[in-house]
Formats: sequence, C-alpha cells, structure tokens
Amino acid sequence: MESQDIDFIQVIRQSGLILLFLALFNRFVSMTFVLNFTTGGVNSTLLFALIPISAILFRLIPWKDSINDLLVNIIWGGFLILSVLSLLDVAVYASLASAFALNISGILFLTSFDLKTTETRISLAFAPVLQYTIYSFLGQIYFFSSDIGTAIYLIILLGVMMSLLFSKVSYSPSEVSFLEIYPYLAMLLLFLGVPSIIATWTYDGLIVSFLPLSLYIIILQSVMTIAFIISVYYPNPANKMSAPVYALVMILSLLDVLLLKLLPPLTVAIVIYCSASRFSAFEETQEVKNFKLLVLIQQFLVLIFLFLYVSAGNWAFLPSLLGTISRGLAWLYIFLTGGLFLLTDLYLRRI
Amino acid sequence: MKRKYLIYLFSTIVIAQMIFSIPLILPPEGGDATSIRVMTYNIHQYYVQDPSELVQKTGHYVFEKLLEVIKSSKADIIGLQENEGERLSSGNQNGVVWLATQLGMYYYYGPPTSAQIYGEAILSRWPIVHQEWRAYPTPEGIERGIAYAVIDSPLGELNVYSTHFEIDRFPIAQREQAEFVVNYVGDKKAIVLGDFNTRSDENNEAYHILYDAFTYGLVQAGNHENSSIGFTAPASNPSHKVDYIWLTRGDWNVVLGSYTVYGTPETSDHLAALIELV
Repeated sequence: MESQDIDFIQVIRQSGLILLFLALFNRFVSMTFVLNFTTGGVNSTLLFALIPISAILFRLIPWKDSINDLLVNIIWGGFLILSVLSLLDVAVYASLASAFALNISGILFLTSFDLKTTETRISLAFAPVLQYTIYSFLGQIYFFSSDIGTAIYLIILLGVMMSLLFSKVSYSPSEVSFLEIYPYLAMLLLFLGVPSIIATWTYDGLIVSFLPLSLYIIILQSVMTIAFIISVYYPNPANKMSAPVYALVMILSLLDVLLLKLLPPLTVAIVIYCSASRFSAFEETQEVKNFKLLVLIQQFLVLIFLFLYVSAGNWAFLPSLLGTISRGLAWLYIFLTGGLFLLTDLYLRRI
Repeated sequence: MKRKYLIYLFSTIVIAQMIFSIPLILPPEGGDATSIRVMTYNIHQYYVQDPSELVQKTGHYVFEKLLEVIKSSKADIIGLQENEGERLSSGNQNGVVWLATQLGMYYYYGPPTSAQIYGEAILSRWPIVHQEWRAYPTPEGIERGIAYAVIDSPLGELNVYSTHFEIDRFPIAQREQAEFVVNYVGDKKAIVLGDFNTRSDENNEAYHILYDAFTYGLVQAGNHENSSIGFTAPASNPSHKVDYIWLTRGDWNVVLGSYTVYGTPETSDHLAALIELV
C-alpha cells in the first residue's frame, strides 16, 4: 500500500456502498424466492431476477458521462423512497424496491469503484468487517429482521446517499475493476460474508464436541477480521503467495466438504486474506481484450451459480429438472463461484 | 488521514465485535423449578406464509413476534422446527442464536446448514450436557432429521428430541421415520417434540407407530385424543394436528389442563403446542 494520506470519507462511503449492495442483494434473493416458490406459484415478480444483469447492460451502453452521473443521482433519490416503501406490508413493493436498489447499486459500483485507488482497496477489506460488526450487534440476524436493524440500514442508506450527492470527488471508474470485484462480492454474499453461515455450515460432529457454536462464531469473526487487517497492512508479501495458496485452499475446502463436512475457520480466513491481499496489490497495466463479453459471461455465471445455490436447499419447491441438478449440491455452487473469482483474478493478471 | 488511524479504526471494530458478542457467551441463569413447561413450535424459517391471507405474503421476518409468543408461553424447553435461517433464501441469519440470547436460554442448533435440512433445534432454560443429530433415510421426499439433547434440569437429566417428518404425501418415508424415532429413543425416559406431519386417522401408519410406542401429551393432560384443542395447523384456521408432544410411557406426570396452544398466523403457519410436566 502506498505511504500516502487516505481519504477517510471515501473509505466510509465505499464501505457503505458495499454493505448496502450485500444487504439489498440478500433481500432481493430472499424476496424473489419467497414470492415465487413458497407463498404461491411462479409470478411476474420472478422477472426481477433478470435485473442484476440489466445493471451491467445499462453500463455497457455508451452513455455520455454527464447523463450517467445525472441518472445515478436521480435514481438514488428513487432508491431511498422505494427502500422505505419496502417497510410496508406489501410484498410486491418490497421486491420492486429491492430490485431497483440492486440495479442502482450495480450502476454505482461501475461508476464509483476503482481498484487503482488505495481507498477502494481498503473499502473492500473494511466493508465485510463492518458487516460482521453489525451482525454481531444485531445478534447474528439480518438488517431487515428487526426494528433496530432496519433503523441501522436506513441510517447507512441516508448517510451514503447524502455523501454521494454532495461529494466533490471526481471518479475515474475502471470497468476492469468491476470485473474483479463482482465475483468477490458474490463470494461474500453466498458464504464468506457472514461468519455465522460458515459456523453453522460446518457445525457437525467434531466441532460440536469441542466448541459451543457461539464461541466458534466469535472466533471465526475475530480471525477473519484480523486476517483483513493483515491483508491491508502487509499486502505485498501476501500477494506473492496468494494465488497458489488460494487455489490450494479451494481444493482442500472441496475435499473438506466432500469427505469430512468440516471447514476449519483458519481455512476460510486464509481465503478471505488472500482475496483482500490480491485487491491490495492490484495493478491495472493493460486493457482486457473482449472486456464486454467477459463481463456478460461472468455476470451470467454468477447469476446461475447463485440461483442453483439457492435451489439446492429448496429443491422440493422447484420444477423437477432444477431440483435434480441442484439437490444437495450447494457446496458445488459455492466452490464454482470461488473458482470463478480465482479464474478472473488469474486472467486479469496474466499469471 | 494517516495509516496509523486506520489501525485505530480496525482495532476499535475488533473490540466492538467482542463487546457485542458477550451476550452470546454468557451462560444463561437457569434457575430452579418444580415443574417444566415443554413446547414444540414450527417457526417457518422466521417469516410468514399463510395461503389464506394474501396480505401476509410479504416475506417479512417475524423474529420479534416469535420472541413475544415464546416469552408469553413461559416455556422452559422448546423444540423448534424449520429454524434453518442460514440460507440465502432465508436471509443468511442465525435465528436460533438470536432467540436463545433474547430468551436467556441454552441451545442446540441441530443439523448443520450443510445438511440442507429445514432445521430442528432445541432451546433450554438449563444446560445441555449432550447433543447430537441424525439424518433420516430418504427413500422419497426431502432431507429430514432429528435433533437430540440431554438437559441437566432440576427434575434430573432429560432426554429431549426435536424432529420434522416428511409430509403425508409420502407415507412410506413417514413410516420409516416413525420407526427410526422409536428405535432411536429406545428405553430412555424421553420427551419427543416435533412437527410430525401425521394426522390422527386410522390409516396413518406413522401416527399409530408413535401412538403405540409413546403416550400423547394432549391425552395425558386430560383431553380426548381427537380434541380440537390439539389443532395447530394451519395457524389461520386450525383444523388438524401435526405438531405433537410425545412422552415415554409411565415416565411422566402431566399437569391436567396444561395443554395449550400459542401463536398467531402472523408468526408462523403453525401454532405452538405446550404441556407442563412435574
């Protein structure tokens, strides 16, 4: 990391954006699933599932920058209103709000995040840590699950929005940055962003015998936080080793899930550590060939993996073919998303 | 901002996490008791689903309402079903830990998230000294299991089970699950809580396997086997029994008139059932 001053406001703003992105994506997926598969049959709200891809399509249209900025600001206003509407007991409004918010988050990512800046790298490490802290404050439940959680969500939303509207920082966004960030965010969303998921996922025989679940979650949370801190302060030595270590850990994780049903906290922390240190050492030196095509393929794969991951645990509610290809295979879709992250990373660095 | 301030920031965050986590690791108070109130409750992954009420199809989470219901019941031991919240479709959250912390109870999470089971957990006012779970064989239907905990209570060690059977569209699976439970409990003095998805009609094999092996809490509390007091589903218009409290024969004294149902359609698609033991 460069020995320069850091724009603290920018770090907080970008961390807030990542946090909102994860929260709204979570909300979007659970709402879409609930509205289409558990409270009745498939209905028009399923079309919202296409919205994550529309964000990237929107960006790929060659708008003029001024129009883009104007749209972002206008839609941010709508974002706030629609998110507040989601507090009402009307499901379709809630789903619509989440979907719009997600879409706009995607646009904001494309226009606001540049891995060339130190602030962005720190934010990518800091946001999950901030999320762990809020989860631990809320007692391991989600923003929208309690009144106080909803209040915290709205405060973050308002703060980030106001910060963006009145910001004088001029961004020079890098689309290549987004290509690298997106599978990392998907990994956080699916599995790595909430220590209690990892804890309960691995909560079986051996760990049950030695460690209460609560303590396991706390240890996991602390180890992951400390790993992030190390990745921010000592990125260069870590970066030299991160790709091979990451690949090895992926293989060990796969063996773990298949054979032992046990994924030690240290393993997960190493994955996170490597991810963050890769970002910390990012150097964008060349244009990426076929960039737009790569983005579309990546977005499509993330969406497919995410859908099949959700389907794996709920296969009985889904059409038979989906049930057949997803039943019991949640671990595989986590693994494939992790693999996508690794492949993207390796491709961009031409290792 | 200098880098050293970032160190302070991260350090503050780690300390904050530790402070917020203290309620998770402090042991609950426990306390003495001359009777024990046991409850079974299918909580539908913390959100409302009731086909009869369009307005309720929101997918909104109901943690605080669930907490109110359980608090008002003054239950000492609770068998939860459909408590698995650590799926993306359920909001990536651990409701078992949250409920236990809010209620000041010990807990056993039951099958891990990777088992892809909808969840069976056990909450207890007193320490859990042993815990384990088993998956049922699945010739048909979805993955299901049973959680087992030994609780160190003022009335001695209690063997408590929480389970969730296959739906009655799959009678062979139901029968195998009932046989599994009877064998798993064996000759232990036990309380078996759960959503058994079995109705008390003469054609339901699983129901009769359980009825022959155990005593039915509803009956032990002084009610007729087919009393409508035992109806727990659907919560909006309870018309049949699927949630049962089974007791091993000759081992328990149930307080007469203690069988009670709790909950509303705004907390789950099932009602909770409770009895008091002395």
